[in-house]
Amino acid sequence: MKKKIVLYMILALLGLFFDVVLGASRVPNFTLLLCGIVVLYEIVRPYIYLSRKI
Amino acid sequence: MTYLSDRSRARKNYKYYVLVVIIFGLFIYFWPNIRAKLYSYVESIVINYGNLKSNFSKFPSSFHLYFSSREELDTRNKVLELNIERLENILAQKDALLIEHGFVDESGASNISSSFILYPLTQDMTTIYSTILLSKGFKDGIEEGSPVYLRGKQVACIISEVHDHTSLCKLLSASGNSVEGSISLGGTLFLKGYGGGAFIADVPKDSTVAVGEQVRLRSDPTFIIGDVIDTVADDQASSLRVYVRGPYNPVTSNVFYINK
Repeated sequence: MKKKIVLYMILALLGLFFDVVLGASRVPNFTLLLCGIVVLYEIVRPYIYLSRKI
Repeated sequence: MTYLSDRSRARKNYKYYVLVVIIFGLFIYFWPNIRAKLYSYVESIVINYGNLKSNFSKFPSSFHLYFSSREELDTRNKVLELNIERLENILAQKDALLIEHGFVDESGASNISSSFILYPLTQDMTTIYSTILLSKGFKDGIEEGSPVYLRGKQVACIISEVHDHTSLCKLLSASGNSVEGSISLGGTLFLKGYGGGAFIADVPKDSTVAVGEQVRLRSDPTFIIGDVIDTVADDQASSLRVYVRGPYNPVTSNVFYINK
């Protein structure tokens, strides 16, 4: 669990770096996209057969 | 008892999620201010990264330099000087033609010496922003809204943000971006970015747009957008689709120019 949080933090930081350097819009599009993917993954994860704990 | 403790825990979790959503919402709302603040810290890192990248790409030629004789280097220098002279002559001829055909007056003719040379520090290879971070900024005299061009005065992007030592340039050929171009017969083409330095435009079927025709930037005809590379007429539609592309791809270019 802790590993996963660290991984998500690193992803968020990379996304923010990209948005800070190249983002020419009012919202951090790339970070929002990453967050969306992570949230979707977390919602779908329990229904993925391989990730179920038997 | 168990039921109550579960309920209070659920309430606690609910509050926690609401707090996270509020913080996230505030972060998004104040993003432009936060970004400006963060960029002042990140700028030096990006400049160093850009310098390191360009030095690394120059490494093979500098390595070769140590093992070349002075005579060979002198010869190479002479060849390069001749090349510069030849290119300057071609440029002068082109400028004369531009003035002759009335595209520009004498003050607007291209002059290499009156332009800044910029190098790309980082580029957005995705289509999320389609921007390029360039190596000169406010302290070098770069202004917002200035057109940035490649060799042959092919306009690539427009400066959208100016920082202290860097500037952010938004590609004209970004997917969905609209640009007004003009063709030699005085017609206007409403071009839409297609990515990778390419544009498309839909014109009425009876238009006389020929393949190979040069398209210039309508707001400043000294800049070239590209050439018409293809026209496709759909039998079903009443319009003609025109494909325009410049000789150089701005995403893979290493040198950019901007007028002083």
